Amino acid sequence: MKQYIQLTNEEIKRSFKLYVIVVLVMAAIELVSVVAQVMLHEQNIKNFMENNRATLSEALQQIGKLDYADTTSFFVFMTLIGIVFVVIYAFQIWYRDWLGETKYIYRLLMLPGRRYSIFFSKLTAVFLVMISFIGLQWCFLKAGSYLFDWSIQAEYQKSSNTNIFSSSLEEFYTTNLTNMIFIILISTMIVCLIFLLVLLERSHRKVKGLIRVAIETTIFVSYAFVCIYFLDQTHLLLSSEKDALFIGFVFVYMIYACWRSLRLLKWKISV
Amino acid sequence: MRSYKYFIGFILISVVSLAFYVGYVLNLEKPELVVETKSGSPKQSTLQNLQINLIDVVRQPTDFSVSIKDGQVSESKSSYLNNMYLDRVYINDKAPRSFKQFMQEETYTLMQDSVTYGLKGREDGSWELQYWDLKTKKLTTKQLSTPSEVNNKKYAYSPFQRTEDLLYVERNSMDEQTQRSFIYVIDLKNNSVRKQQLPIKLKKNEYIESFYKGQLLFSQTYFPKNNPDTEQQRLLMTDGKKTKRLKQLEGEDFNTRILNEGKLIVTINENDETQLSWNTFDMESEKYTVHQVPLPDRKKFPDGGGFPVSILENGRIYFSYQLKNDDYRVLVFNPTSANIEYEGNITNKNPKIKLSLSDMRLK
Amino acid sequence: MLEVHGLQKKYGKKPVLQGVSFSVPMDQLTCLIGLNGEGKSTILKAIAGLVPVNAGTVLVDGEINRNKIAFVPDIQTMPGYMTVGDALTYMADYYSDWNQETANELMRIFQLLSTDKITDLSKGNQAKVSLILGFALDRPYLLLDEPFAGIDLFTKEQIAGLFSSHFMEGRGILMTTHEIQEIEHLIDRVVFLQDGRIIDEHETEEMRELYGKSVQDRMREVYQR
Repeated sequence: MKQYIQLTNEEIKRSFKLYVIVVLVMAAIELVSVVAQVMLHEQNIKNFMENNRATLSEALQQIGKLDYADTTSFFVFMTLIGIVFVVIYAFQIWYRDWLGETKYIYRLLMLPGRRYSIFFSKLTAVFLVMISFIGLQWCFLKAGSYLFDWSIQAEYQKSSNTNIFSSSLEEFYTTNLTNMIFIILISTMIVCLIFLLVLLERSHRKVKGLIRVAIETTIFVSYAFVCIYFLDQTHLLLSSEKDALFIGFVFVYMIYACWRSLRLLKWKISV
Repeated sequence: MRSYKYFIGFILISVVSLAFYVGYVLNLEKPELVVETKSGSPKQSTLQNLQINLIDVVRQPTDFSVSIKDGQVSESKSSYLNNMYLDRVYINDKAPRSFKQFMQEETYTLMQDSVTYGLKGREDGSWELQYWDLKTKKLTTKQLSTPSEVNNKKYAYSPFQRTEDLLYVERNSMDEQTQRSFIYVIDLKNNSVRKQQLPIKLKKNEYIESFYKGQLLFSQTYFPKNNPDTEQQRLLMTDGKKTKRLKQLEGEDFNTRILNEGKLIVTINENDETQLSWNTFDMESEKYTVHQVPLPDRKKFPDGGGFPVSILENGRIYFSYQLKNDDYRVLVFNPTSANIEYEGNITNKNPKIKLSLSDMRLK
Repeated sequence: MLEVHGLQKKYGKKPVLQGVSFSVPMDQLTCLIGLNGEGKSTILKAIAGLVPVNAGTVLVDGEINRNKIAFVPDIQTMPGYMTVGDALTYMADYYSDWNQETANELMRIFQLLSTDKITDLSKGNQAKVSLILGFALDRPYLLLDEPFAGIDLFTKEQIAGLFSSHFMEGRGILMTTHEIQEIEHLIDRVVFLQDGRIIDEHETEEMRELYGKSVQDRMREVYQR
């Protein structure tokens, strides 16, 4: 346990600087975009009034008022970038130990104790990055809404609307916590898959490694297809039971991916 | 010894930031829904346990189900997970699992007067019939031998009406609408199936609406010469000897519903924002009634939307619509006498939350 | 005694090790000699558990126990952002048999500062750090993969001096190196590897008596056949 915590601490420490930079850049872009869009909207109104010799209310009627959801498009982009970052991190957290000037993988594999702490420390690091992104992005969303309220003039703002999400952002930031848990679960499964593919590639040389990766990807796709097809076609189960079984399938795959990865780490992995 | 500050720090960041999110969701403002009865008793038996479903469309689909009987409000949210696999047919929660599972198979269904019927054709040509009575909470299962010409692979046998102890079943071809001159009748008392000749042979564009004591009510679609792009519908009744058109029941925006085990035909127009109008026709007495109930306080939606909801069951019309002050009116009345048996309002005391009418169910 | 029995390793269809067996006695420095690409590093990595083998076993004092082996590879293994002090703290955190006193002494001898960033160090100093990380573990068997590769003569002599004064007692050392002449006087045993097989194995004293040759001369003889 101690080794696992130490290793997780080390993994996070190694990426911390980059993580902070990414988070700060994302926050800056998002928050600045909110203010920029408010200012742009104001400018558009002013331009309309000048060009058409219209009153403010006419301009607002023509162009429309602004609500916070209208200014959150950059949050969607940043969320997507965050997803890409997590996927890249899931690969990089392994490959950086093999590639580059120093070969930290030697040090890891020579550590006393069981090798599963190596695996789980990296999994924990990626998982923490993922959920911290989700949580922090939420905080930025809220901060953005306060910034919006502060920067926009009252008459330019759409009347009281409790919705702070654009429709595309709603897909990620739902008010249904079940959806959030579902997203985290599926994401963790994908991270487990990535880890398995990396370890397969690292356990075999060159072409053989790529072949193994292709086979494993095919296995995953086939498994997913069979499960979804079965759930779709079967009449033996009710929808609530199918939901539970779907979650079960996800867990089964995660356990399989972790088990295989641990076996590779123990018996097959090569520096 | 090295500190674990990064590990602990990250966990704190993750947990605290997620906690904000969870806290926001859990503290989201909710509507305060209150039932105010204007007339009639919410506990009367015809109401059963009438539930009006309101939906918060602004912030993720959240259903608020209001019980007229006791004013209880239950909330349910649809998630990605439960939108992936929806039950083919909605079955009341209290029904046994075996029935719910049976209804997911290739069954043909009928819901009438709080009873849900499912009919399934077996490979050996027989039928399995199961039906769940919501009022008595009783499940009945029957294995039925069928006449020799019944072919479950080629045709779909779909129940369309129950009258007393007879369940009428229509035969449809999988490929195309064929001419139909007969239906099947399941006698629920002695578990038999027999063929029943229809008074006339129905054509492709003709559809059974009701069959009552030898009288067939059917609809006929056509494209009028002066408006060839718009399909119209005629309602006709025949006993095989004479056929008459029930013109008084017809009308644009009028939907045909069958009540009282096929005896009462109701056509109802819910889309008129100024009034609710419906016509009835008694198959036995062949008498018409025409009714309008003005709805002066019904909210108008110039851009569309704001649709009312209704159920026609148990010989009653259950009708709900949105008022100008954003409350929701619930009316229950007898379609022939227009006697209002229940009138009530659902008021949302938290006007910040905008809701829409979604559904109405009898539980 | 560290005993290697029948190690076999293939990369694809190409056999690299074909039944390698030899031993590393306690209190002796055993040198594994072979031309480039013969599989010397592979043997050391296999013993350390860093590469899987197709067959064979490694016994340490009669049992399978890698916790009695310390391995110093020929490359830097600590993350680049670490300082020397961080690296020593890392080892102290993970290894219960880490000897901080030995580490401090070696730091003093090598004149390294704990605040030095490892990637900023010269190759020679990086090699010194690697040696500290290996030698400061109180383990009876030490594997060294090309410890002198790419470092200057003075440092080589310094390290060679340390072998006899600090590193040999109570240890069995297995080393691969091409720099035979600097440390020939320290080598107690040589093992010759060719085409994935052990072709010759001698105590150096016995070899000098038997053939009248130095290790280097014997090496030339073996590989020129």
